[in-house]
Amino acid sequence: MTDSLVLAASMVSRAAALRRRAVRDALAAAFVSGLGRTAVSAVWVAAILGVTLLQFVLPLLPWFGARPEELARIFLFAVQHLGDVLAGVLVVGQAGLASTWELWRARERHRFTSVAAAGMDPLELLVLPRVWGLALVYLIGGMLFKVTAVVAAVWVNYAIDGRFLGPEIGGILEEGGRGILAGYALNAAVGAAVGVVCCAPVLGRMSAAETVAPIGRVFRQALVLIFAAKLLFFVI
Amino acid sequence: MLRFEHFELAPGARLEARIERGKLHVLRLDPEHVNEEFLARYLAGGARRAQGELWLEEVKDAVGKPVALRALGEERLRGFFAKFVGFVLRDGGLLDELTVRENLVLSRRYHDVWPRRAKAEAEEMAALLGELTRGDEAGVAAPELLERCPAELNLFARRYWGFVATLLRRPQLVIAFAPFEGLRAADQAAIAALMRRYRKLEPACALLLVVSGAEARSVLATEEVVELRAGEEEFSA
Repeated sequence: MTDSLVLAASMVSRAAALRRRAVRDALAAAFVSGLGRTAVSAVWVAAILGVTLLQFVLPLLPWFGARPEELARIFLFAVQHLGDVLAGVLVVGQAGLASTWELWRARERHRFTSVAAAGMDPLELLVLPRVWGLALVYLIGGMLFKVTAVVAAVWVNYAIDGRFLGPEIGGILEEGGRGILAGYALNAAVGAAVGVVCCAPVLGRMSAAETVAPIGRVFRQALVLIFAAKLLFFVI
Repeated sequence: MLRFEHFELAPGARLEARIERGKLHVLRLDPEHVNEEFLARYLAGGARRAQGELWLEEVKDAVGKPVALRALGEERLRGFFAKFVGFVLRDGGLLDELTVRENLVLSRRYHDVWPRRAKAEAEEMAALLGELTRGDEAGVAAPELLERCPAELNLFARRYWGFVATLLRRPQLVIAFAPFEGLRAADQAAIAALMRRYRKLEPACALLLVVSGAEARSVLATEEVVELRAGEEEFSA
């Protein structure tokens, strides 16, 4: 009997906690729906990148003496790893800076004050959903580029030896399978870090322009460094 | 219920005043020198940087001795706001990311009220205030307005629904900043009527209107008003 009561009490308290979380989820959903546009952009960029490489870059490589396997590896490397960098550019360039701008506008319109004056935590309601949203968008962006890489691998395989499935596909799936969770966790963490960097300065007294310029510069440099590190790792 | 003690609203403009239960107070500030949102910022966490003290009747220590708001932690201060104080900023202070309806129940849901109950409470209170049958000047009915985001509404509607969202929490002290500024006479009268209905519903509540111009004088001509000024306190019937 006591156990049943304890169980019932814990279920009720859990349900109440879930209801409370629902408020944050509603806000997060509102932001994520806006940020979803970024994910759509990621699809377009992935498609454009894939088509550009396949149509224009790939046919040129044999002129430089590349063998079909090397050609496939170069292509897959470009789509897979440059994809992460492009997803990062999209997250920073669109969703991150949009978040900075929205928060700056919210601050100028005293939304932090009005939320706090209604007894709510502005950090919880205005800032955290954006950080989660950015983590999600970077995650989705990274996934989209991985999918593009697999599709492109199928295409390349077909172009090289006339079969849709071959060793390159096996390799990329194997590699993807090994690092899939770690890779996505890293993407989400980077997205959240972008969110923190984009949102944090607004909580101080900096203007939008003062906030945006350094963020853009820092992330441009960071993304170049990440790509260079990946290239180095690949070469070694 | 709220007491200002050497409270510095702006350099050289100090306020010594007491906000009484059941009365309508008007605080006139010089628009050139005073930021009207100063008080809201003070109460929303900027207390430690401000000059002077602010006392709320309900805030007491363990032995029942009044405690200045400055001494409270941020979490406890928020708890008191949620319970006793309601702010209405110039543009209503509603969140742009949510619809008006979501804004109305946001605070209740945040404080662990179940959605169905929060919605029922909001509708009951709005009905008491006579809001659910209200439309805008373009003939759009209230139920449709509730589904719109605040950015789609005009200044009057934003401020009006901001007022309603605040009053739904039934605060004992309502502080409104420039509630009549930039509105047509009919809209000013609508906001004054809303305040009147709320005072009828909650006779013990105190209202403090922070204004910079003379517009409040004509709108509230028929009301009994306690007029406050920075640096002095004067009463008029």
